[in-house]
Amino acid sequence: MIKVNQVSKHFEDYEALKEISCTIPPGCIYGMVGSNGAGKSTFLRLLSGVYQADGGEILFDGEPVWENPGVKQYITLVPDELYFMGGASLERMAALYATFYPNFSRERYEYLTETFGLNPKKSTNTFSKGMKRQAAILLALSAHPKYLFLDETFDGLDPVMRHLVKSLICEDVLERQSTAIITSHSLRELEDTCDQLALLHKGGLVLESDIQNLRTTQFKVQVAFHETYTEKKFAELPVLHYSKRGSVASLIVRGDRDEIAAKIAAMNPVLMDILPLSLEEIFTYEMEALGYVFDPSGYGFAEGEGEKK
Amino acid sequence: MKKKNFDAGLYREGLRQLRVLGITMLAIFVLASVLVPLSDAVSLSAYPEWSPSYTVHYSSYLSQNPLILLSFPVAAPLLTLALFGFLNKRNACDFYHAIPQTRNALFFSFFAAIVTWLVILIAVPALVSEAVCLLFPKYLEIYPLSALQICTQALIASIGVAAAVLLAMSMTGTIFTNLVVALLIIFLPRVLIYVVSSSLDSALPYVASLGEPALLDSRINLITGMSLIPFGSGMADDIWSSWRSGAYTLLLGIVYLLLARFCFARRKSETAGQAAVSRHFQTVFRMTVALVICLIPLTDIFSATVVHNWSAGRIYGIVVWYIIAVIVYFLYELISTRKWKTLLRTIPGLGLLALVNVAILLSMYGFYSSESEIQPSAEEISYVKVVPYDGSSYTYYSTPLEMNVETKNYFDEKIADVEITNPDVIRMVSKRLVDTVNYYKADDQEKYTAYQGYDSIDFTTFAIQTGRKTIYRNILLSNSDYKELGKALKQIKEVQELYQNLPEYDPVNMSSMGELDADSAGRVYETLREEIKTMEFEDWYVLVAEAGSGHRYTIGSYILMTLVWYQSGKSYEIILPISEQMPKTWTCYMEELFRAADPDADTAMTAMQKPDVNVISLEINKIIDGRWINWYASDQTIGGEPAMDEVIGEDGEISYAMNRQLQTELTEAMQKAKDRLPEPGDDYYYISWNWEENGEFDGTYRYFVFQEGELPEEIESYFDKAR
Repeated sequence: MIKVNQVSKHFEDYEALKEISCTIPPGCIYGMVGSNGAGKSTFLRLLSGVYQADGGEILFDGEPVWENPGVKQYITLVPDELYFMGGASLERMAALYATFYPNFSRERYEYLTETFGLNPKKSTNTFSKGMKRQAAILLALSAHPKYLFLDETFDGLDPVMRHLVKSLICEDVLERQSTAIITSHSLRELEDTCDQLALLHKGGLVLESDIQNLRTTQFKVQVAFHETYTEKKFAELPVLHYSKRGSVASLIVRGDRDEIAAKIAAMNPVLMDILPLSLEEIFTYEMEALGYVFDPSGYGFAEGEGEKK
Repeated sequence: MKKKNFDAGLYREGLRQLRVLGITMLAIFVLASVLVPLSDAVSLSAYPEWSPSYTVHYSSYLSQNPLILLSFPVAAPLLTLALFGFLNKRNACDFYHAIPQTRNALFFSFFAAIVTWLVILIAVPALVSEAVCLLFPKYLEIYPLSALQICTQALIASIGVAAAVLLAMSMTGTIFTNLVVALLIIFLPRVLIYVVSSSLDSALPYVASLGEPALLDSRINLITGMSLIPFGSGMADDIWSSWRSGAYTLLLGIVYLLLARFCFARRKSETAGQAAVSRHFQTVFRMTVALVICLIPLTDIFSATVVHNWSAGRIYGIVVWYIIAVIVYFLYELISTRKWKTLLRTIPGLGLLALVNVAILLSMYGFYSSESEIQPSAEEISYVKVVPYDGSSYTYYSTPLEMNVETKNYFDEKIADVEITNPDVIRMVSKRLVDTVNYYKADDQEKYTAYQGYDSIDFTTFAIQTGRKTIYRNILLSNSDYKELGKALKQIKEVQELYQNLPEYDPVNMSSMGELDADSAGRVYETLREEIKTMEFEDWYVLVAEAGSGHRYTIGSYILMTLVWYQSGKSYEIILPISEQMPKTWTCYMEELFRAADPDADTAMTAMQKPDVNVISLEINKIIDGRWINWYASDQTIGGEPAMDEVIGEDGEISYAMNRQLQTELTEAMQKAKDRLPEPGDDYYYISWNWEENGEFDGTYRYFVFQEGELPEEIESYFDKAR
């Protein structure tokens, strides 16, 4: 289990992370989403022991990660900016990984090399961006880590590779109860892979939730009545977002689906449809509920006049 | 998992990463270690063995393998920059900090890999070089002790440089700032010491450096000592053969390494690619770079203040240098950060820089004032000692045991232990110290009355004991002061014993530096030792004083015998005059000298009389008025009268040979004189010549005493004219 407790990190005048706290259970695929500069990469580097937190603590099964090879030997990080030693081949990098990581598996490395279709003897300098990313992923997976951190990993991968990588990650998590943390700026990337999702915004952890829970407890209700009505009609319901077009109102509601459906049905609507939400929609409405307004000019949220609930 | 300070896997990885660079440099160094001695051997093989140009090449290890000098300024920084270069790139830095190793383990494992390569780069070429010399024993000698010493020193210096570069890399994040800060770490302390102490030395010529701590001696640091040679810090051999320098440099290297480790462990990975690890460090580095330039106007201000020598030109120069310093200050920031916007933020730092300048200036002036005010009265002085003059140079000799031994004059050094309590001398020293200080403080030294009316004034260094403190001063004495001092010294029993009781001849620790071999020198020395006990002290004292100071002889002609003597870890040069006032020693010396000539010379003289023997070069040397005067007969006709005739060989080739008649006359004179030994006061000649007989070449030398009229007229008249 990873426990992050009130962790802060700043770079000179800029505060990258502000008192982040979260608990990531074992056997979990934890997704972290946020706009550029939100602090995702910083968070992963803190967890990997690359950066040292300025405040708070990071514990892996009760042990701190900073300057602790005993913990770090079970962590592999695939960063957004990859590094390979100058002119080194995949084979050479594998030899290096084998030196550092006690669980490094030669068999897995060879299997993955073949699966990814990479030439282990060629210099990594000759690899394309996508191939380099594949190489980094396969080296990380070959180390059989207990904790696998992937920072915007799916960039540069084609859809087939993306699917393959996701399935490999899931396989590791299921078979060996390892924990994966994947960061991305795209919710769609994480939607079908992650168990939990967190949203980072300007260094703060704004939202963190179980995806299944999010999907089942938030939904859209489209309803219409003969009579004229306003938002006040639904005052007793946990409405996150209300909009009306003509006589049809769209409600984004959080709560027990059956219970809420019964309550609306009791109001005798002419029309009532209960529709599932996409993860993107869920996050958008959750953020609005927290007082953040979606900024369509670039993907991101800004603090706005939304009511925090 | 136990935290380690060293990891074998990382160490192997470090060795592997440096492989290409290491092997490339090794190839170059090994090639040089073969080519240099080989070229010496080839060029020597061109000379016949009799030729003066042919000698067995007694080569110091440094001249045999000069590229070893590149180990610390080139190999060490390149290896360090290559292996620890990850500190300058974010992605590389993150990679190495993510691996499951402590920073300590990463640091020491990689550093060990660098040291391993340095050992290889120094030791392998050394062994190859010595092997090449062993293959050509006719032309080349090896000097294993020197090689071992130089290699050890080179390794120490290289480790020091590598540690300094690593310290710089741990505090900065770009190649530019790595190099600048490394140079600051290595050179700035020495440059600061050198510049400030030079400035103070100029302002305080009467303060001797003898009492200064060894740390102020720029030769003590192998790395900077070599770099400051063009500015006069000493010979390369002198610096590199000093074990004290090696020990100090090693200690410095360890300090750098520990500091580097401290900074490396605390270095934030995110600072890779930035000019410095923090804004505070960046400020310090920026100020320090500008301070280097500030030293120039700073010392000028100090000098102008002390000697009251302000002028418009000087002020202008000072202002210009400070402007340059400010420009450098901003330029450093611009180049290291590549941001214009930060320049404004750096302006307050200039105020701090100005304060540092003021602090240095005030410290220098404070030191100057305090030293110049130390003028003890005669009553405060317990005794004085005459120590070797602060500005005197040392002599260097090579001996079988060690290269380039620094030797000091035996008599000067021993007299320095004698305490002079003569009240007249003490009064003189006290008064002349005041006079000397005032002389240098005077606006117009020529008008300073204390030294007017004397033929000459010269410095003598004194150790002045006041209470528990000893101060060392260079004091200007007039010739009458010297006489008084000399008179006082001669009355001291210890001085008399020093001069008249020379140490016993020690064949193991004494080496003769002249023409005589060890046994001959020993016989002459023992004769001299006994004879001077019977001489008047005054006569012997004057002879020694004039021999040691290089003055002309006073009584007839004299020659010098020089011995180098090791005693209690020190090396002394004993220069002994042999004058006709010492007839036994003179005779003994001449017998040994004449006997030391080439045993084949007699045969050679006989050969010269043959018609088919051509003398192709000949040199006659004679001491006149204490100088060697030379007469040549050679194909270049250097000096002397042309005495060579053209000789056309069978193949039409033209060569030169000594004029046949002259050769005959000279040979006859030599035959007559060959068994003569000089009486005390007689002139004697040293003749060397080379000849050719039926295409075979040979050479020899011998001493002669000729009577008047024996030598051919043209030679005799040449020497007569030289008187």
